[in-house]
Amino acid sequence: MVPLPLSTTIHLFVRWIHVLAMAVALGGGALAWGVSHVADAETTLAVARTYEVAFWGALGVLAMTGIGNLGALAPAIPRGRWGVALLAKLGLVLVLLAGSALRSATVRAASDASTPATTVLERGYALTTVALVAVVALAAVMAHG
Amino acid sequence: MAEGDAAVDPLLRWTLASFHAATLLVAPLALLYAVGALGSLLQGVHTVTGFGLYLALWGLTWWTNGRWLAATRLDGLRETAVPAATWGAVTGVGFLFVLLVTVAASLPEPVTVAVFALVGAPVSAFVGAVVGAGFALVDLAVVAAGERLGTA
Repeated sequence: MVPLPLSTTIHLFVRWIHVLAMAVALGGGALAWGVSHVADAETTLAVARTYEVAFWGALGVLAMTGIGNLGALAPAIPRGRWGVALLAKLGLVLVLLAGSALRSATVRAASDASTPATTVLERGYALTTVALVAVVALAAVMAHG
Repeated sequence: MAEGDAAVDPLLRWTLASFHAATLLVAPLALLYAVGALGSLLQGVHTVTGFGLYLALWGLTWWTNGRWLAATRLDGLRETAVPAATWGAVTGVGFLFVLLVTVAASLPEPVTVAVFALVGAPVSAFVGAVVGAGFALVDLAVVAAGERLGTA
């Protein structure tokens, strides 16, 4: 077996970490959505608080490794249809960042409330999951055309 | 842990620090790509160096957000924005220091690095203060909206 060059190994590792972080964000979002739909408020908030910590960690890793993936293409980063998909993805990520800050603030407030708004949390996790699926779809367009 | 940090909600600190650090990366990235300047910039940055810089920004933002949240009750524009500008300036200068250490490691010219430090310190403090105050306004709106939405 021929060993891979170091740069190739690093870029492969970066892609794996990127995919793993997305699995945490998307899988966790779907789980929190499902739990908030069927469980009581106490369970919903316990899962929500855990997910928020994991989500922001995963999102930081996604941002960091995302730019690592772009760096692997530098200096000839494609434009055209691929570029439109990249800009759409980055725009959606910015919307996701702002929306998720609001979702986390809602979880924080709901944790302190005597009557937490679990329906709002359920909608928040549904939107997060749908937005993350859209990000994955754009990533698939960029990877496979 | 510094005095005052103990009273800060760890979830809010983690959320805002990660939100700020990721936005500070993604927004300029989109802008640089749109104007066609991203490829040449990324070509000069090694993957591991880039990771180190982002982790430094994330850690620095986490620390300064903790100090900022310890200094504010998030219940008024001025009361929130003034400490945010102060700690934003600290973040700016701190990140400049990290950049200079990185540059110094690959460019062993102390005079050039010193000139960058002298010119860059006030600029990074000013930019950090403006960005910090801007994020404080966004955070204030986000926390207020979260409190309205979180209670049934």
